[in-house]
Amino acid sequence: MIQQPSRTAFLSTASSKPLIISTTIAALVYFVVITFIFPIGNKYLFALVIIGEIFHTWQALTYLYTVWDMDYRAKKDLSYTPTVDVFITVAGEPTDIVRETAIAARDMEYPNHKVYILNDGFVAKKENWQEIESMAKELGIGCFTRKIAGGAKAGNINNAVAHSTGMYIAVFDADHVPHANFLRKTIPYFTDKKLGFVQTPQYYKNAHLNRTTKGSWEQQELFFGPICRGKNRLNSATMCGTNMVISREALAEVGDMCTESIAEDFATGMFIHEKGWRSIYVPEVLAEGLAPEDFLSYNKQQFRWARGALDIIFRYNLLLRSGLTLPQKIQYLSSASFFLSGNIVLINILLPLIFLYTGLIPLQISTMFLAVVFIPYISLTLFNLSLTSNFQFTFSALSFAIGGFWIHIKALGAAITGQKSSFAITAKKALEGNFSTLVIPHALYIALIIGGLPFAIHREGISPSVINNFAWAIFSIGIFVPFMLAAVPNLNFRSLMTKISKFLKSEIAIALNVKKTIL
Amino acid sequence: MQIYRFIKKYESAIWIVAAMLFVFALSITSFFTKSLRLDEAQSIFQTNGSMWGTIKLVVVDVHLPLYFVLLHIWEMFFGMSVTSLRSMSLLFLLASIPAFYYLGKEAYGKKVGLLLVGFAALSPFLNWFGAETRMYTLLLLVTILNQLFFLRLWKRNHTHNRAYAWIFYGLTVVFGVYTHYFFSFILFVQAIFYLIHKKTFPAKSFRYFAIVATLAAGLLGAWFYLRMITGTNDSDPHLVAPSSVDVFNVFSNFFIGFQGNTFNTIFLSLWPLAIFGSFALLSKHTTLAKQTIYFLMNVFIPIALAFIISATIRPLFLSRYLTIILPSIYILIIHYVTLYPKKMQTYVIAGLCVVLSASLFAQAFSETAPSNENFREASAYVSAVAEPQDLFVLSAPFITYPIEYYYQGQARLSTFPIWNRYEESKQIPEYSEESLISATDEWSKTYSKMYVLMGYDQGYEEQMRLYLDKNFERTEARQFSPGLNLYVYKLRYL
Repeated sequence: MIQQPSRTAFLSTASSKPLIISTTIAALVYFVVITFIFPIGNKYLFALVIIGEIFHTWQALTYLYTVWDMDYRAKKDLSYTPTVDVFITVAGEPTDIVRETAIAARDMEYPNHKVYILNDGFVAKKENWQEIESMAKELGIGCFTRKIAGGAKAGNINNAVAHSTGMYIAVFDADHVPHANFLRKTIPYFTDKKLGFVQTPQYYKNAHLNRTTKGSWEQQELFFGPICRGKNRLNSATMCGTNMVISREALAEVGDMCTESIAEDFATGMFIHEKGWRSIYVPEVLAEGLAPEDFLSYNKQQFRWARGALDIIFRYNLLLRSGLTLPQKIQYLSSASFFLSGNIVLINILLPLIFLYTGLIPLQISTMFLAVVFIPYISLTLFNLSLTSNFQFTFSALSFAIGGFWIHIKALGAAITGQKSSFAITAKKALEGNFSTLVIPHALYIALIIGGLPFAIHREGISPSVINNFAWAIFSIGIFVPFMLAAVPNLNFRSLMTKISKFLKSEIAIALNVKKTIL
Repeated sequence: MQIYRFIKKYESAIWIVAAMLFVFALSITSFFTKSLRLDEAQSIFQTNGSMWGTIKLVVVDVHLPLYFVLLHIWEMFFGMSVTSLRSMSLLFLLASIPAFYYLGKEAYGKKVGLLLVGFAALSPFLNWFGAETRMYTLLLLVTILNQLFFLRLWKRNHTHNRAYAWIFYGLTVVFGVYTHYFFSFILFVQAIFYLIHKKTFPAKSFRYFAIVATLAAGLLGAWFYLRMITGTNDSDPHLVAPSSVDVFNVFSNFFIGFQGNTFNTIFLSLWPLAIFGSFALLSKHTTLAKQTIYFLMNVFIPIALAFIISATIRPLFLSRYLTIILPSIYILIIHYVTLYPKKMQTYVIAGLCVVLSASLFAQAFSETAPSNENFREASAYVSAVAEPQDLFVLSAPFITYPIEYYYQGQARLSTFPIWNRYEESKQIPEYSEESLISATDEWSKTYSKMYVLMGYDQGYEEQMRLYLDKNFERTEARQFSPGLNLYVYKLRYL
């Protein structure tokens, strides 16, 4: 049974400065020792290790920098009630889901807001586009149905911006149902006239449904908990495309939502910051949406995010953009570069595999020397993650972050080759079936490790190096397990074992028959 | 049905008694049958005189007196046989088993307490010291009880009759500081924990803790004063400064006991799985309870202190001295294992039990276990073959303690470097080749064969062997246990 997640525990973040300093020191010591002190083994493998370690250190240090202080509080004026247009972006989502969101948006406790459905069903060739129009009419809210496609979700929003007049624009995905107090909680911050946008958490109310929704949400918790709270201090809130309010003036200054990138929200937020506007992240669950309910939809969503983030890295030179402050540059690069982590995971899992088959090692050291510098570093990092996330960071989240390495690699491939990736809406209803093909790389890895072990033992016996490398492989495989299980939701271990034993029995019987025939 | 109800009702007691019986049976059938080891022989040497004689010998040595005083009294009642002497340590280990249960239960509940009992019963490390005439199981028992009463004082600060907890806590401190110096590390950790969480302790606790601390300091001060006025000798094996490998060896000793180098290295090479184990703990249930912080402090602070002292003042980094951290390590591991999902819990517990059991039986029944010191067989052999005109030389000199317990041969017993324990200074002289030449020259005039038993290499064993091989005819070489070798040389031709 999947545990019902605590709704707001991920927002009760805390950090300890002595712990952050200790972790930083441990990370740097580990990096320096690995890079400069340990004797080099195979130079190509060593180069790969160093690339990996540079990335890990970058991730660790930027995380620690982000969570250094998460208690930023902006000023607000509760009496401030300017005009607000509420946009609900729709492109073929089930009508009942859109209805729930539309009603909640209409009934928000705010004196001055107009709700519009941004109906892209027609251009997306979805059957229910007329149904959505009728529903809007029935609920007494506005509806913009585009007849000319372009710019995907960003284009849809820009079309609505052109046909509306509210000072501020709240945006919700079709499945993200706002709480009644959403505008009451977000608009008061706009008394700061240089505030460009306010972002709130993208909470998934179906997190308890299955392994995919659980992993998906738990991955989000780290981002919407400590990371977003830390970004607040650095005026670097990330625009996430839903559950947010944007200043019309700020949006106009950057030429509306960015349609060049499939990470339209991320890019638009960056442009708004670049023009000197400020941002705020409100750490309260003010809207509730749906996580992808099946493994295929999750993969598609992650691929889209990864493709978009890498697009930002390759298309816009984040470090040289003149309008951004240094902390903002670091934050944008740090967030976008997360989607490169799959490539580093690949390096890490390949090292034991290469050793098992070839005996090549990146560093000529006893495994215990590595343990001396690695264990303090990883223990402190882990404790920091747990503490800053209010002990909400789970093994499942880790598994989804690491197990998704293949998605990142595919996204990088697509980015490098300039392959076009269309904006696809995440399915709001679970697709049936198993998606085991999506974890073929993981299964292949397991098979190669199992095959490599006798190879290595034959070469050098049960040596500490063989055992240590095999243990590292088991470490990675163990982390893949929840991710792989999510791919096969209907997997029944008992029936699988029965099938395997039946298969083996029949194979043995055939083999015995063949032997008899030959004899 | 009635039996089922009975078992259910007395589940904990049955489990504890079963664990105690298992430990008892294994000790009697295996560990008690092993030869006396160096440290044990030293205990016997120090305690076989009068009570005052015992104290006088202990005060010039490296340890504290409580265990030796108790052993002296034990000898008066139960005699001096190896079995009798080792029984006292076994008694402390057996008493530790229910104490483990209560500590686990107090910290994290009954399940942890019961698992801790199983862990303790299967621990090769504890079973080994349960059959050694040394203070380590007493130290274990006192440490567990001390932790138990400290936790009681803290956790039940408003609901419980505290008077008895204070009295027992104070007693464990008194016993602890006179059992082993490393016990003070536990008190240091408790002081830090108390200062951090002072508000959660009972009212007036500062006063009581101050009284206990003063008492402990006074007792240690008195002992140091006695040492100062009597002087000390230097007859113990010289240890080398510890490296990071020694730190890991402490952990491996606590799990797999004392195994061969290859097996130990392979076991330690599995450390990425421990990291995986901690990753697998990441869940919304896993917060860091205060008692967990306390136990973590009890693991890492003593290790750090022992390491720093060993690296800067005097090497004393030995896993047996760090017995004080073993209850905390076991309790933390079991606590964390019980946080895993149920299926995984079962697999991990089963896996740990398999590792512990296999290591325990290897240590109990393997002749090649590195911790074996077969002085008994070495003595018996030399007793049987050496003639009155031969010489039996022991190096390092302090292995004379176990040898003289067993040796009944006719050849004269000597040591190299030549050491007279009863001389004024009692210090073991430094090794030098000149003194070896002079000693062998002298011996050649009187004796025909020299049986040289080498053990506890103090850094000169190989040099000494090479010199003897070069200058005398070696007629025999024999190993009795890992690191205990006998070489026989012809000194002169008749």
